[in-house]
Amino acid sequence: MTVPGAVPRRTAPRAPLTSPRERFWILTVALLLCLVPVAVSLENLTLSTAVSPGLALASAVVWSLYTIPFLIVIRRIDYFEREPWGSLVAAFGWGGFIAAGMAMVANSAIFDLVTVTAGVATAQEWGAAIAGPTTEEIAKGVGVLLILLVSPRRPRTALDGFVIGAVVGLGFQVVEDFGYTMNAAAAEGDPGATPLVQMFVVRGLIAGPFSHAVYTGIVGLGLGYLVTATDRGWGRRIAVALLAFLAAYFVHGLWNSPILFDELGVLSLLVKGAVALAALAVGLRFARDRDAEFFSVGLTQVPDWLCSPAEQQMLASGRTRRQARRAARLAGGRPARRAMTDLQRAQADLAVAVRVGDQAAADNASERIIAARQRLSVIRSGTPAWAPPTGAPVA
Amino acid sequence: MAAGGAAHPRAGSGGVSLAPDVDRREGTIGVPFVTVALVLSVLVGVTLCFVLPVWAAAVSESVVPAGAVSIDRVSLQPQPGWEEMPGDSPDTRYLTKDDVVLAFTLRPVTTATTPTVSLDELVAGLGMVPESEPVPFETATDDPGVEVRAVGPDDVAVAATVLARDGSYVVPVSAVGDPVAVAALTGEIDDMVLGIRIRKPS
Repeated sequence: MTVPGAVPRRTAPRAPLTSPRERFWILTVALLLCLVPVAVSLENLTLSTAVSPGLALASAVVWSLYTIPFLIVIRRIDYFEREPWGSLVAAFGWGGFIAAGMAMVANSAIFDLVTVTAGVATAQEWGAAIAGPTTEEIAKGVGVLLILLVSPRRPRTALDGFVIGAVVGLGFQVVEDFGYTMNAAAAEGDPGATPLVQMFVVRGLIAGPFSHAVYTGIVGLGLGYLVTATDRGWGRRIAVALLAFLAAYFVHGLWNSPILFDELGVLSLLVKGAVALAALAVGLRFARDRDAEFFSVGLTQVPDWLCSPAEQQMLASGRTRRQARRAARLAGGRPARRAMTDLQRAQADLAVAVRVGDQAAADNASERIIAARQRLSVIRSGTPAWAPPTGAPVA
Repeated sequence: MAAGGAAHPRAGSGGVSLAPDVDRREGTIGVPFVTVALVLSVLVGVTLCFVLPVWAAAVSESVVPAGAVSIDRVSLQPQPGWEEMPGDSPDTRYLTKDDVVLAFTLRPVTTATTPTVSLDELVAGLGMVPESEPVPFETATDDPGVEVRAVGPDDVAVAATVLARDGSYVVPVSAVGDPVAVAALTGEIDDMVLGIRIRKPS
C-alpha cells in the first residue's frame, strides 16, 4: 500500500518524432547553424559586459530572476504533459544566443538596405518594424521547429509548440534586455544601477508581457500544429503554421512600428500589447481545448474509481480545476486543497499515460490517485475509509 | 493523431492496462518532412548570416570612401576626391564631395549627446538641404568619441556608415543612436582608426 501523501516518481515515454539517424542530422545542422550567431552573441555580450562588470553581474541576476515567473506561467499553460527541462533549456539557449546572434547580423544588413533604398528618416522610423519581425521571428521559428523534432518527449499537440516557442522567445527577450541594459549604461556613461532600473521598468515590466515570448509562442502554436496534427492534411497544417507566423510577424511589426504613437503616446504600447495578447489568446484557446480533448480520451477508458466522468470534466479546463481546488479548500482547508491538487495532477498524468500507452506511468499515476483519495478521505472523515474496489488490487 | 492506447481494468497494478506504446506505433514524422525542415533551416541560417549582409554590401556598391579619422591623434585622412573644409571648431572636420558634406566632431562622451556645432548654416550656405538629423556617436568611456553627420541634397538618400578599418563593425549612422549599434562599437573604438563612407543609391 502506498503511504498516503507520498508522491512516487513519474515516468515518461520516450518516442521522439524522429529516428536516431534523423536526429543526428538535425543536431549536426543545428550545430553548424550555431557557429556564427553564437560567436556574434558572445562577442556582443563580452563587449557589453566590459562596460561595467559589476552592473553586468547585477543585470544578469535581475534578468535571470525575471525569467522565473514567465517560465512558471508558460509551463502551467500546458497542464497535461509538460515539456522536459532539457527541451526548455535548449529553447532558451536557442533564443538567447543563436536567434539573437542571427538577428544581430541580419538586422544590421536590413537596416543598411532600408537606409540606402528608402532614406535615413524612413530607416529610423520603420527600420525596427521591418527588420525585427523579418529576421527575428524566422530565426526563432527555426529553433522551435528543430527542438520539436529532436525533443526526447514527443510533442503531441500544438500546445507543446507554444511552450517551446514561448521559451525561445523568452530567451531572446531576456538576453536582449541584458544587452539593452548594458548599452544604456554605455550610452549614458552611468555604470550604476539607474540603467538597470530604467530598463527593468520599461522593457521588463511595461514591454515584457507583450514581447518575444508572446510572438514566438504564436509561431510555436503553428509549428506545433504542423508536426502534431497528423489527423489533418498537409495543406491545412502548413496553412495553420503560416497563419500563425504571419500573426506573430504582424503583432511584432506593429509593436516596433511608430503607428499610434503620435496619437496615443505611451498608451499605444498597451493597445499594441493587447493586440498581441489577443492573438495569442485565440490560438491558445484552440490549442488548449485540443490538448485537453486529446488526453481526456484516455480517461474515458479507465475505471471510475480512478477518474469518474465528473472528474474528467473537472480536468478539462483550468477554470474547472481551480473551482475543484477551491471547493476542496472550503471543505477541508489547505491540506484538502493540496490533496485535490495532487489528485488532479495524478489524473492528468494517468490521462497522458493511457493516451500514449505508457504502462509504468499509468501504474505510477494510479498509485498516486489512490494516495490522494485516501488523504482526502482522512481529511473529510478522519479515517482513510476510501479504498479501491475489490478486484482492482493496489500496487 | 491516431487513437490512443486502449485501456481496460485488469487484475494488475494500478487497475489499468494499455496497448503497446502508441508513439512507437505511430512512428516518426518521416524523412521527407525532416529533409524539408533541414533544408529550410540551412537556407534561413545562410540567408540571415551571409546572404543578407552580402546583399546589403552589394547594394552599397556606390559607397564612396570618404576618409578615416584617427581618434588618438585627432587626424583626418581624406580619400581621393574628397576635400576637407575649414570648420569653426578645431575638433570638427568637414569633408565634401558631390554636394555631400560629412562632419566629424571629436568630443568627450560626457558632452557628446548634444551636438554643439550645427551644420545648418553651413548647409544653407552651400544651398543644400539636410537629409539626416545629427546623430551623436559615443564611446562608453571618457575617450574621445566620433560624431558623424551626413548631409546631402533632398533628392538623394544619403547615409553615412561608420566602420572599423578591418570591416568588423559596420554601423550606419542612422542607427548609431540605437543602443545595440553603440554597444557593437563600445570598447572597440579605443585606439582604433575608423573609416567613414557615404552611401548613395546608384
